[in-house]
Amino acid sequence: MLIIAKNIRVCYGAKIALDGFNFEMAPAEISAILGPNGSGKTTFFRLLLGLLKQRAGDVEVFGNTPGNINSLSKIGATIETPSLYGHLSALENIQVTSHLKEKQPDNKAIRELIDEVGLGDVGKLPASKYSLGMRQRLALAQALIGEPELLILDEPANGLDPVGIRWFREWAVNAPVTRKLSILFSSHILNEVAQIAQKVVLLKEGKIKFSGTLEQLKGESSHKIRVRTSDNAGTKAFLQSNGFNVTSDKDVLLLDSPPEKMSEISKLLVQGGQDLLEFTCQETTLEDLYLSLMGDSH
Amino acid sequence: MSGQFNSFCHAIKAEWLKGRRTFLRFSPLVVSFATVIILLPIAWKVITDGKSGNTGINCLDFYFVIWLFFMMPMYSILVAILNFSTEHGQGLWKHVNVQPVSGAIQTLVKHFYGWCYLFATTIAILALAILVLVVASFFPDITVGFTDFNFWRKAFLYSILSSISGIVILTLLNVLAARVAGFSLPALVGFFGTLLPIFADANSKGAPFIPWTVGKFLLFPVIMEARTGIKPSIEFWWIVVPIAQVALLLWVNIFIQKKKPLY
Repeated sequence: MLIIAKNIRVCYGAKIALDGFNFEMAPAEISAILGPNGSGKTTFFRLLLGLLKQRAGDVEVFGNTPGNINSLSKIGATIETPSLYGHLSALENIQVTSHLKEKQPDNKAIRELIDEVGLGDVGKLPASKYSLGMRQRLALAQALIGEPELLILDEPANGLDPVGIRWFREWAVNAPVTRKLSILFSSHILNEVAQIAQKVVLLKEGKIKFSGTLEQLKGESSHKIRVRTSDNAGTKAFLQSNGFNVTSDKDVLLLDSPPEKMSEISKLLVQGGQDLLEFTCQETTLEDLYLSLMGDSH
Repeated sequence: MSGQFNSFCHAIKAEWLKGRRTFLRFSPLVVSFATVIILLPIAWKVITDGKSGNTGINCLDFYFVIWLFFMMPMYSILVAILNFSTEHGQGLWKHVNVQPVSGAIQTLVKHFYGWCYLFATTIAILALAILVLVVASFFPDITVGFTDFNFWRKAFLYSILSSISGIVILTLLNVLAARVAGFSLPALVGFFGTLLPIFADANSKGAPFIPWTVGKFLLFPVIMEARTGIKPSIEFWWIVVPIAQVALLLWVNIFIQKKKPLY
């Protein structure tokens, strides 16, 4: 395992930032921490990098305590906003970082990296003139210096335009193969996570609301059958008397039932003399699920 | 050990990349300004007498008083703040601290880079002043009398040592100030510290223990020797104290960085 975190508790003074946090990450995985601002995503990353210490629990990164030189030498990271020397160009920024790494690439490799992140045309400009999206790209290039085995990216798509987001998505999905690395990133955008990550942790106010693969998350989603009749109240009572779990949503009834049972239910309703106006299958989207897991914060 | 040394050398290169523009921009200004001031005696004597007199000794006195004794400690304030604010002003400590370089090496590199900055500037001013004196000696009206090389050697070494004390305490103050307020505090402390030698008694037993008065304490006997020819009795511990002081301040800085790193 690259990362093992067990029952972590992190506090800022009296405020609990992470509580009972468990996490494991294997090599070649892409994992995401998803949650609203202030949910504890950056706190967890800072903990992994040794920038802060947990009050309780155990953390191991590459089998070492966080912040250990051996583990840091295998990690490339961006934390919070991109950290760049504003007066230096892209090349110089990466050169500075590369001097602090164990494996130091030559200038040719650095230029190739600048091209890879799409900054080839502006590589000579000082970083202070970059937009947030360009700064994100440069920060990613900096994180990739030194051939890391694990990339920790804090809100990497923040500030990227739609083209940039698409580029990052494609890059990240391929990176475990092309660069032989694992990626742990945070986001508050569900769509971004769903298209990149294999494993996801949903965080809210420092506590895990869900942890598992995207398939497991999708598995938690249920199908509902939408039913509308001329007498919704009567139909609801009829269905409940037949053992169905029914809820009302505005002018429709929602049945917790898989799509395979649609035929059986429709026959039951017709035989029961119910006047059907609408009868469709509604799949709970990831977004619905996310919102229900995260409660009212969204 | 060689791994640590490699790490230190690469970190120095990183510091140079970060700071070279500032160094190349400010240093020529400082060097020119200081050289002009140091060479004022020549200009003054040429203007007033039409002759220079014993210009070499006058210039050396000026070099000692103006640069080594006053400007260099002042410059060390600027160097320490510039050196430190590169990361601090742009929120880059977290970036530096997640790199595989130990906090102790990072701290040492920051100090060492500051010393190199001062050392390079001091050498440049000295070289430029000597060059102008050599050129001036070719003019028949200007008599350049160079003083004893021994004086220069001692003055230079002791001045560098005293400024290292200054830059170490200023960098440490910057580290402390960054946690609480801003850089105005170290700048103020540094400025008043620079004025301390004016009021401090060179023979005071406490002088070598205060970073800014180390210079006066060590240099005063040297300059008196150059002027009067009387050899002072410089005791070994006079030099040991500032070195121990630098080592202690460095250790405190490394300890603080390890205990609570700057993010």
